[in-house]
Amino acid sequence: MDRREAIKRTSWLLGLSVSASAMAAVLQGCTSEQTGSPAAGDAPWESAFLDQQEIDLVAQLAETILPRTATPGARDVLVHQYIDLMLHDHYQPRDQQEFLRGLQEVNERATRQHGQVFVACDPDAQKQLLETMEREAHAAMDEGYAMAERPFFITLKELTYLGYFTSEEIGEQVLSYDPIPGSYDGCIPLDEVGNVWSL
Amino acid sequence: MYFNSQGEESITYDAIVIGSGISGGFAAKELCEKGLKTLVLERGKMIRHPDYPTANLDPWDFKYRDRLPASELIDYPVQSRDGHVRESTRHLWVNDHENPYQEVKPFAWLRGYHVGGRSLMWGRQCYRWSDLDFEANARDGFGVDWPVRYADIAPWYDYVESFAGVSGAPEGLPQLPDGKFLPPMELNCVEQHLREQLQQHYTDRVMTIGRAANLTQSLHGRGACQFRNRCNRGCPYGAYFSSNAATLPAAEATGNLTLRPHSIVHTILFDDETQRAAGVLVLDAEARTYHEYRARVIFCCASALGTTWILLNSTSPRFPDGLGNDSGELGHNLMDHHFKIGATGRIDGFDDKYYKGRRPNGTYLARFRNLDPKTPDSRFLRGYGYQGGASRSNWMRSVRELGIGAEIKDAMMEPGPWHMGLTGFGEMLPYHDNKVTLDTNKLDAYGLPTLAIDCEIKENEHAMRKDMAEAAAEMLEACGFRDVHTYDSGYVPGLGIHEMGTARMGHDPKTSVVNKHNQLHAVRNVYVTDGAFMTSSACQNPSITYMAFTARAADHAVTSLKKGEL
Repeated sequence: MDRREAIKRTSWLLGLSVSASAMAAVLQGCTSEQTGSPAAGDAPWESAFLDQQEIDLVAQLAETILPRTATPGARDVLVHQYIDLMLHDHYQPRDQQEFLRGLQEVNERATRQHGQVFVACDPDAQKQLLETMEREAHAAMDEGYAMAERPFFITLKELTYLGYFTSEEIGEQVLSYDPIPGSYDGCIPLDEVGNVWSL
Repeated sequence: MYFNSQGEESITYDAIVIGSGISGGFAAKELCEKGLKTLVLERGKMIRHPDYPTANLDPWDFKYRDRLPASELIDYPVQSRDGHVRESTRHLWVNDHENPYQEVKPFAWLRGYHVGGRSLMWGRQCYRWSDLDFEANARDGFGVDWPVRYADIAPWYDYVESFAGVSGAPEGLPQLPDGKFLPPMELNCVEQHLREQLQQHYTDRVMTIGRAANLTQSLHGRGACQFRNRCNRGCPYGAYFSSNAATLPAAEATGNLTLRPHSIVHTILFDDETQRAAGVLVLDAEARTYHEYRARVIFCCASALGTTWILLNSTSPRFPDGLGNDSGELGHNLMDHHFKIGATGRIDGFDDKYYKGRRPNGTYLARFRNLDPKTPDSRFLRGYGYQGGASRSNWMRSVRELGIGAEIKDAMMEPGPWHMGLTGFGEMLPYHDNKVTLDTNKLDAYGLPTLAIDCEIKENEHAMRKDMAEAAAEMLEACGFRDVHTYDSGYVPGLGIHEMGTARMGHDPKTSVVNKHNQLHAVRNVYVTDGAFMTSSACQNPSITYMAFTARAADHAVTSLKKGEL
């Protein structure tokens, strides 16, 4: 699904009427930022680090962590593209390899338990598998793993959250967005705000 | 807007100000307004208010959502030590490879080279000193006595606050005198709760809203704060005090200002005949050519370490160890504020409350240790204050908690629990052996000598830090917070970005570098009004004190010039 569709679906899912200017501003991003499958005239998005199978796997892992509900899921806001970019530009070779090994382990577990790779498993099995990995990661951290050896799952979850909650769609249309508050009110009813502030 | 001086006929000014940060900008404004043709020399690039390229960008407007990748952080191994260098701010911090120095012991020298200096990136907290601070050295014998008391500087605090604009609440505390405040920002629900609880449980603990150089109403043509909390990128509204938004435009309006960026002051030239400084030798950072400028008075405002470098580098037969360095104290007594230690806690009962706006300011819990000289604390000398604040956590809390899937995701759309944090900011004693020296072997990108910095905190600071953590936790527990944890995230000198003391003020030319008017004892037409003159550090953020001493020194300089005394 391309970004344009994702945004339309987002606003449809939320039952919101996105103002024309907000929509224009968001859609403008499409021209400067590459997307999953190209709209006419746009260059197709190309991954910087992961191959297509790995992209599909990361997209499904992210979607399992933050699935589509009444609000968009990780795939809708192209979290996999953010993860690919971060892996390529932010991570040292050693950490990149750790991440790839983590992806491999996900598929090994899936194959062992369900006889097929992760993306082929049903959503419940996918969720259970990740929940197990998260419990193991926490147990490992409780035993005092150094940050350099942080478990794959923690890296995956952090990147997924970052990519999702700092995306334009979530930041402007799902979370409470107030670019120029103009004043500070230190104690107001939560009801007057609703969702957590995005900035 | 500003113009660079060209040609031989224009190399002579009434005054030269070295540096355009908080002190230099204020010196420029005062000297220009008093009618002096003033040349401001800034080693870095031009930044014109309101030209702040990232000021209006949201996280998703940045390629990496405002997280600088390792491949680009490689230019900032020092500057990035405390999280200041992001996609939104990187252009304001120096490239460490081009600006090396030697860390004899770990020292983070965090800085930006551009017009406005660190006045663009500062924390904006403004706390007056009291006589508890000015008398501290005389009382316990560390360092030399300040030749100045609160009564001398109080009117100058009034003066600079009225121009800069400091929001805050008067509290009537003797150790933290009230100022000329704009209306205070609000405490939020949990901060207000803690303030009230502290008053119930203690007789000596006052937590107030931070006193910040952020305008809560427009002032002198600058706009009021919009509560976006993006100050560290530069403010297009001019709503916090910076040289760019406040003092330099005021200086420029007089018609007396010449501002020359890309101008690295190499030396201050000493005239043996008059025993005065004659001018400065400047390296043009772009053209790589040297230029001489002359003036009747010179203000050193290049930051504590920048000024010290210039003075150490300004040798002559009369001053073989650096200009004005008869005492041998130039470069010594380096101080910072130690911090990054304190406590945090959660609190229940406010889950139906939230806030609106991103307040660029926190809380301040005023010093309560060693207030009465008659009953000194047995564990350490002097004291500390706490900066802090309460807020509700966001989705980041989930990264470290168990749980994935729809339910967790929907829960993360809502604000999380309230947390309160208190971070101690402690006084560092002036130690002679905490010092900087000129390293003529290690050269920078311009082939100039560099600084070797040899600085550490000692027993008094370590004992104070223990109390900073324990007292914070004790207060939070007493006031009804739960899951209270102390933390120490590792302080290294320099991280406070309050380096000061390396050309200290004192009565005696044998033990200090500048006199009570900020003049070099032996070269009276050179004034040092950045952090270098500080005789002790107190525990308050220092910038408003630099402003006050700078304005006072400028007044003295102009009066002395008129009397023919410089």
